[in-house]
Amino acid sequence: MTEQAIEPAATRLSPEEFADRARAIEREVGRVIVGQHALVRQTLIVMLANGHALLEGVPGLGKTLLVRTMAEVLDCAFNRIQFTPDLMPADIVGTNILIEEEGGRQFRFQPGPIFANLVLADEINRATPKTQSALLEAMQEQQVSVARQRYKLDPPFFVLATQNPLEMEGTYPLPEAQLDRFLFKLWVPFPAEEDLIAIMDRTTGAETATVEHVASGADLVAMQRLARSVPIAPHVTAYAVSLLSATHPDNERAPGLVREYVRYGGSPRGAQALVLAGKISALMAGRFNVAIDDVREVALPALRHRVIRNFEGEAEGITPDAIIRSVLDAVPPPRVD
Amino acid sequence: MTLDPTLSQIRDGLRPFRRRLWLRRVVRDGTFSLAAVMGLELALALAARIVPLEWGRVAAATIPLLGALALLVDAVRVRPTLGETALALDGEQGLRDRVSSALEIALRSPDLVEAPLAAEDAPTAEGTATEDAATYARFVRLQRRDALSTLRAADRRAFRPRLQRRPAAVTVVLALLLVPALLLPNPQSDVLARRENQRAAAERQAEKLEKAAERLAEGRTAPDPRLDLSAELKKLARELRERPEDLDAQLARLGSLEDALRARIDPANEQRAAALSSLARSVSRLSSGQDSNPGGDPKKANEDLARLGEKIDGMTKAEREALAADLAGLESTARQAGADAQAALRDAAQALGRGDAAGAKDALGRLGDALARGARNVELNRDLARTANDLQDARRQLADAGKPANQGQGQGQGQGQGQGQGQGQGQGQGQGQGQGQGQGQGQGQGQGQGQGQGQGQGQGQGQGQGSLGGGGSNARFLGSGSSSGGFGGPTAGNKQFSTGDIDKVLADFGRLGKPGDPSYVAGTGGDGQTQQGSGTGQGTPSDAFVPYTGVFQDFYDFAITSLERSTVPLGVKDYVRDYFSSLNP
Repeated sequence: MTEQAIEPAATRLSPEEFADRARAIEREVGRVIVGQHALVRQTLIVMLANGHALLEGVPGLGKTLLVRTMAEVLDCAFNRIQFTPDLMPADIVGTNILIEEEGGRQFRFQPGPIFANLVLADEINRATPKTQSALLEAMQEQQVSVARQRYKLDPPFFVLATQNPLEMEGTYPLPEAQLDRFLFKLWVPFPAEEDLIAIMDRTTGAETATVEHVASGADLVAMQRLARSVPIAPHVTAYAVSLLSATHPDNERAPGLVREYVRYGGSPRGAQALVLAGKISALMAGRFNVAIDDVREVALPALRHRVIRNFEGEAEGITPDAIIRSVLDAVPPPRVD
Repeated sequence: MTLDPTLSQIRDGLRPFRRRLWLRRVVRDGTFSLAAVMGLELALALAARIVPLEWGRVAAATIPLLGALALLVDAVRVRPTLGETALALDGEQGLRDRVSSALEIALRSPDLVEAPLAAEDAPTAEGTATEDAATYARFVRLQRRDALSTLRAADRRAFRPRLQRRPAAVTVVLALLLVPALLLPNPQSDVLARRENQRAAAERQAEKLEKAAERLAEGRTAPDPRLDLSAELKKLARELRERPEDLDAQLARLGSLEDALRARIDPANEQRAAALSSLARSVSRLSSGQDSNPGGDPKKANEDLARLGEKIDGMTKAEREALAADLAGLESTARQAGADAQAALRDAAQALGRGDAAGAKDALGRLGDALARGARNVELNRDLARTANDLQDARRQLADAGKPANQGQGQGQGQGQGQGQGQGQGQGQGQGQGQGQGQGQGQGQGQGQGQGQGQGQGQGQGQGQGSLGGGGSNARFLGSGSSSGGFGGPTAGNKQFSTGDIDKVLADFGRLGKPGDPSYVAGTGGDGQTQQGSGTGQGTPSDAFVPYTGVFQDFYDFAITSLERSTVPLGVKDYVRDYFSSLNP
């Protein structure tokens, strides 16, 4: 369906090659994106985990540029969808249109912008819930259904959505089911001053930074597959589950902040995100095993959008990050003396 | 199943760390155990200062043993597994779960251990069914190698034993508190020592009571009251052994039995015994014409009386009248020997006077029976008196054992009420001052506590009866001190002992003569008639030549029985007993 079909890699990828390619991608993206190393790494983790990311930050921090640069570095088909209140689902997934051919008129499916390897859903919260839900099937099943016909999306398929936390008027907050389908929710921080200086230098000069393809879509699929093969020790998996369980207010290990300000804890997808992201984090660090620290490192982006605060929590300004940090404090790594 | 060589090397490499981790755990738990032991010891020491704990020393010795035992059990329990060692090593040295992951995954996927190592690096076409499994196995191998290399680079000095700060500090503080708690004098020690003395005294007195019971029951057959008394003594001995700590109850039981015995004792028993002996000796002399029964044996007298009865038929009238007169001359002695003897003697004399030989024979036979019965009663009274003395001794020993040990100044205290004829005496040795016990017509009680070398006891007796007085000094603290206690017995009751009192109270034993001599028996005055006779009789061997050893027992029995008279104070009783003990051949 897409212009460029990804073929499976002919050879097996080694863990060392995985780490090398991941570092190459980060390095190449870094040529355009100044600073934001954690953001770049976490975005790459989402891609290598075959997941989707929700980027939240004020305008002008480079969210769109990051996604676009990623697409260029990975040599993937890229589409951008600007979500607006009048955007319809068919505008995203495509529709059947009437075409006159030699044999007469017939309907033919016209793919929407969702048919790409990397889809940027810009300001996703500006579309209506109906339109937002058009992404559900694509994100989870990696397919779309139009007029009783299913259309498979070619791998790799990523949705990188952005939303602006400031302009809330006329927006439609993403429903929990939609949020849960994002592997990570990433905060796009404001750059440091030295990074801002570098940004000024790069963006106000005559030369424009360009990037090269350092990996293909096939490489990305191979890396995804390799990442899933990383064995994880039972105690690490158990720790991830403990973390997730502690986000539920009725869990015995839940800290006070969770008991007081959380309405619902994370879903099992949260634990999946912890484990999978932990594996990739370990591989990117050049290790062959997942450490508990890997799980803890990805806990914030993996769980912050899965913890649903109650009214008191929102009214008192208790941030999801504060809740997750309290969970991390309450569930320390298993210690054997 | 062949273990993967790399995995084997990981396990071997972990073993030294496991030993060090084990030692660390033992040291850690040992600190807790030590703190617990110190805490328990301190609690025990403090409790032993509040209440007397007889099992305190045993418990104090047991607590460390239990602590050591608990630590031993704990040491076995906390022996770490290799998996725990791996987790601990990862955590302590920041190995990011390399070693523990390798071990856990090996346990989870044991089938991977036999996969050929050489084949793992060979490229494999993807898309096959086994490709993912091969990748997984490859990761496992890589993890093991990584873990092994990490383990080899790990610090061999890991898991240094370290003391837990809080329990160690608690242990030190408890130890510092424990030192004075153990070293400072414990007031409860005296209580425990007294109890121990009390138990020992109870055991000793129980043995004495059992011996007395055996002595009483020896050769007796029912319905002898001594058998009942023997059973009662054995019961008392058993209760003494079973409840030695119940001092008041034991003293009350002993006192009750002693009172009951003394109520049964005939106060004139020895007078009666002397009269019986004299009468027996006299009737034997009448029968045989010589002093054939110098000891006054009633059995011998009974036989002599039987022979005398047989002679009556052959006697002339004058001889019968002479015999009647002789018998009449013995009547005053017979009165003291008992009403039966007196009546039989009188009947015999009158029958002889009437010339009634048969009546005289019958009367003489009754006289013999009365003599034998009287002798048995005398023996019974003596047994009862001796037993009462034993009970009194036991009571005093027990009371002494139950007295608190004192140091420093003694205190005397006496209480007495009543008027009367009470007498009190104290007896002391050395510098001690005696305890008094007074009795009046009411109740008198005197108590004195002496210290130093003194151990005294006084008792006054009047018409009432007093209770035992308070303590003398405990042998543990002999040798120093002085008594400031006064004697507060009844007005005319107790008084401090002095040897001069003995001369006032006691008669000169040398003037008492031997038992059976009428001139030395406290007279009762007779019935107002005085018979005087004169005649010439046959001489008898002089008593002056009786060996000392032959009469000692008589004097002893006389003295002991006399002591039971209500007018003899307790201190004098001891003095007399000691005197005879020193003379005992």
